Amino acid sequence: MNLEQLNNEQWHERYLLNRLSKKERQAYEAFIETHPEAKKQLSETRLFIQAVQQEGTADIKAELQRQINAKNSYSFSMQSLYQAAALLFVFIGLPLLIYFQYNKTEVRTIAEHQTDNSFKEEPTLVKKAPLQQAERAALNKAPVQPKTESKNSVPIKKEQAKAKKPAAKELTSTNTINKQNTSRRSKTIEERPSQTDLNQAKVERELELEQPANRNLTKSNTFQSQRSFSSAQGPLQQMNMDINQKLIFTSDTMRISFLLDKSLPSAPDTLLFSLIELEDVSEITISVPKAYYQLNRSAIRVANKPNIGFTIKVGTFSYSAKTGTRMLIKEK
Amino acid sequence: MLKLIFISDKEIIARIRKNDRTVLGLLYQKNKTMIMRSFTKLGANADEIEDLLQEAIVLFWKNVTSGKYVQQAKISSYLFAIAKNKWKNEQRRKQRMKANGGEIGQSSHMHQEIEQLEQKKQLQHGLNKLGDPCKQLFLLFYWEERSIKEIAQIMGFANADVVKAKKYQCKKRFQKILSKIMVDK
Repeated sequence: MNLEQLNNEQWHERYLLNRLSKKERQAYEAFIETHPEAKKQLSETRLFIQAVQQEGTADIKAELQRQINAKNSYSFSMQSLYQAAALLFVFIGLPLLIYFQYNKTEVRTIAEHQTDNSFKEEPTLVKKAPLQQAERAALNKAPVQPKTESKNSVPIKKEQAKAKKPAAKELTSTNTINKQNTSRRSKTIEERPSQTDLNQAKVERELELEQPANRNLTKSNTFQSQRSFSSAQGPLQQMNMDINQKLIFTSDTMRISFLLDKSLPSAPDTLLFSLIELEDVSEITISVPKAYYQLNRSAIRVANKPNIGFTIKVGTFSYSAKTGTRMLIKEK
Repeated sequence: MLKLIFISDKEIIARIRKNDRTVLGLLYQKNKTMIMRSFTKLGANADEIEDLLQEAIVLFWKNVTSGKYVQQAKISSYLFAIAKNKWKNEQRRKQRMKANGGEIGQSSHMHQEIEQLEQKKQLQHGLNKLGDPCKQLFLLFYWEERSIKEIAQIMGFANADVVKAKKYQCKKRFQKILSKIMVDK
């Protein structure tokens, strides 16, 4: 750009906006000193730029202030919250509710269907062969050694095991329960005494002979389960329990396997088991919250219930279940 | 609220370069507490602190758009530094005023300053009369000191030459408006 053509305002602008190089700046300043007209133009341009800059600052400050006011004026009203909640419910909550309600009905139908099938598969255990007969038969017949030992076998009481090792060994094998074969074993009971029952009877007889002190304890392991499981809640009363089911209680695991009545709508919130006193054993009640059991096909399985402990009182002797202790509660 | 937490310094700068003015409020909200706490300790009152923060944000905006800002630290640190310098300058000015016994300056100087203020007011009035595209163009070029290319991008012009032509036309229009204002006066 030629400095002589100072009608060109670009020079003033570039000078005022610091866009001239060092050389250009020196030349421009020298020129301005000698040209008063150019100096006047420069001061006018300076004023104009200053005005624009002031306007710019005011403009952006106004914008900032507007945004601050907008943020400050935003007040949190409960009405908007209610509106949001209502919208959330209508568009998310309600469809979910409907969806899960529908699914629940579907699952129940499937469960009922499965229950029907299982009723067909598994014959009624009560009518054909009560466990009493099996036990009686076992006592009359010669004891047979158990064929298999389950992984889950645990001695009834550790103290007993220490005191009488051979007896404890037998007791261990007697109390062995195979989780997977529970239903199969139930079927076997109908027809003939099972190996477990035979061994149990044998151990009981032996313990009676050898350890009179432990008599009560041995007896405490045998209960008569209540025919109808009592409950304060409605659904449980509808349960038609089979008396031949095995109730196996340990302090860390509890398995209850029984058939469910068809009319049972769904799994109850709490299972309550009342075991009627037999001889000198006090009545015990065990409640199992829903969180600890699950409805599985035709059976309710209760698993991992670390908080459910129970104590059985046999006269003055109190028996508490310990970890790994197993009790076979069966019909007399 | 989430915007405040998750917006990064880089994003803020990118948005300023794109002339996104919504960042202003975010910058204010993000740094208000920190500036308030720091300057309360220095003895500033709430109004002074608010002014300082606003001025710091405006200067930060200007420095980013003109390319003078080089990111070396956090934006909050930069704003704090600007506010602190402004606060110190203000304190010095007050002390000088006290020392001079409240005298502003010589009467001739005052006269000149008043005249210049009058002229600036007229110019600003003219700018406001000029209308939006021209005013924005002037602000982008003279205040934000953006390059012609950037202005073309922001204002949606085809290229830099169109911006130059538009600027020339706007200046001519502005001169006309100014002369009209002078005549009316």
